[in-house]
Amino acid sequence: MNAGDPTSELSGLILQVLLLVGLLVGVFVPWVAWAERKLTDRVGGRPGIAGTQGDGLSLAGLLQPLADGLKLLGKRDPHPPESVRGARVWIPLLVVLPPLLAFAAIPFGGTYLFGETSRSIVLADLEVGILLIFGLAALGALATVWAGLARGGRALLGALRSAGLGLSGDLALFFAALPMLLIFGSLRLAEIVQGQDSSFAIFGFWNAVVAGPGALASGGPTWPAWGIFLNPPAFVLVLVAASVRMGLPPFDGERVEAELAGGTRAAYSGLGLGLFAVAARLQTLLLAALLTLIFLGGWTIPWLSQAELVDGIAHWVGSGMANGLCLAVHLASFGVKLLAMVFLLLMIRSALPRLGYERAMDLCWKIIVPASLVDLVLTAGVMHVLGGRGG
Amino acid sequence: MAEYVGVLIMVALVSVTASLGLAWLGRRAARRSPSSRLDTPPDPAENSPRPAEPAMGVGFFLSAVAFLVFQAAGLVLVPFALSFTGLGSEGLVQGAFFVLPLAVGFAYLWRKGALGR
Repeated sequence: MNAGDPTSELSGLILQVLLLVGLLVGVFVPWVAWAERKLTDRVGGRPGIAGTQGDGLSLAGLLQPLADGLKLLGKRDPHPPESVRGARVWIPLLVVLPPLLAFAAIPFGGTYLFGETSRSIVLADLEVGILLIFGLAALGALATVWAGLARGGRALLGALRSAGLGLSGDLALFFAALPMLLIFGSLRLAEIVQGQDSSFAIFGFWNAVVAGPGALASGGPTWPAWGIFLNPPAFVLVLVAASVRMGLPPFDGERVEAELAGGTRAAYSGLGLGLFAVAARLQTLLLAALLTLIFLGGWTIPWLSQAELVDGIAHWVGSGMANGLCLAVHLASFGVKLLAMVFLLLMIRSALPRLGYERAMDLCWKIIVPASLVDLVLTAGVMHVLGGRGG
Repeated sequence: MAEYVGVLIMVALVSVTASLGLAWLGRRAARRSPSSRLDTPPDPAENSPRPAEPAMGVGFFLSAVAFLVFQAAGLVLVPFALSFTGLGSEGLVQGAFFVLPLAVGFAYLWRKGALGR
């Protein structure tokens, strides 16, 4: 952020927080809920929320999330005598807060010059951004355990299994992300995106092996230096491990109603259940944002660096508006990639059957962790041959 | 530490307003139970005289210990990964000497059945 009057800076930060939370909870979460229903209906061949209504009020089902929320608000919430007092609302709220707070460390754009001041499109540009997000994801799983503990009974069994799976997913995610840290050399998400704001020669690696690191750039046509192209296996490993970590489908068996005669969520109703649903959508958005930043180049445009884009826009509209328009283009680019990732996650949810608890544990310990270690060794070897991060 | 101010504001604003607002909303909007019998959960097993306390198998503890060991090893690898470029061939060999015993330990745990079935 730019340096200035502390009071105005503080009020600016509060405004940014309100805007971010308002957009997330008021726009994006309902939108993901709507898209999830539409896509699941389409994949399952059902008429769906808009197809069964003929009253003209459905607006393609866009009002359905609002109706769902209002319905949940009015529902009676059973409060068994053995459950912890206050568990009805406070503990589901603890499940919502970590993914919401993690968005503070998500950058939605680069750094732009407006007059004399430079502005970053991130609430908190942290040096340890990725670690903070991983830590908050771990807190979310812990809150699920609390949710089970607070209600007791079968919910506790689901919560313990959820904890075991969450820890396994945590380890798998950590090892799966290590090769990307090796490639980009930073934990700051904005720097990771800046590292992808370039191109690499498709046959550069072969030239470097034959003629030395100096020939790296001379490999014919170029390709965006996005994480997914630099290390495709890491994308799959991080996607699966993070889905396990955040309890997203098809790894949400411990929380849904069909398992263990009612998982953690089945012990809640009304507002508490609604908060669990909000948390699940926030986690989908968070994972999509994380994948966009680490593997899809964040807000960057392929083959067009920020400097080239600003110069190009300045050529047409003058330098006064160039940075503002560049920011708009970058926000649009980030939005399109985010949408693609949300679509991928929702397709996985719609198309794949749920994995049992033990199979999901096996997937983490016996496939993702060893595969990530192999990926780490191979990435280190290739980077050593290429002579650093120049590739 | 200045960059953490945004996170702190978010924690304060969101947690306080959301929790107070939702607690109020939950109290006002939710339908009251006309009878305490309706507070009984729908699952009949919940109503058993003995609470359904899950049996904690050894597998839970083994997984937890393995998690701790490997997570600690992973944390050591973070600074290695971040400063890899400046380490050269020597760093690569040293990293390999760290990862190799880790892989052997992992294989041993796997063979002993500590990683599940």
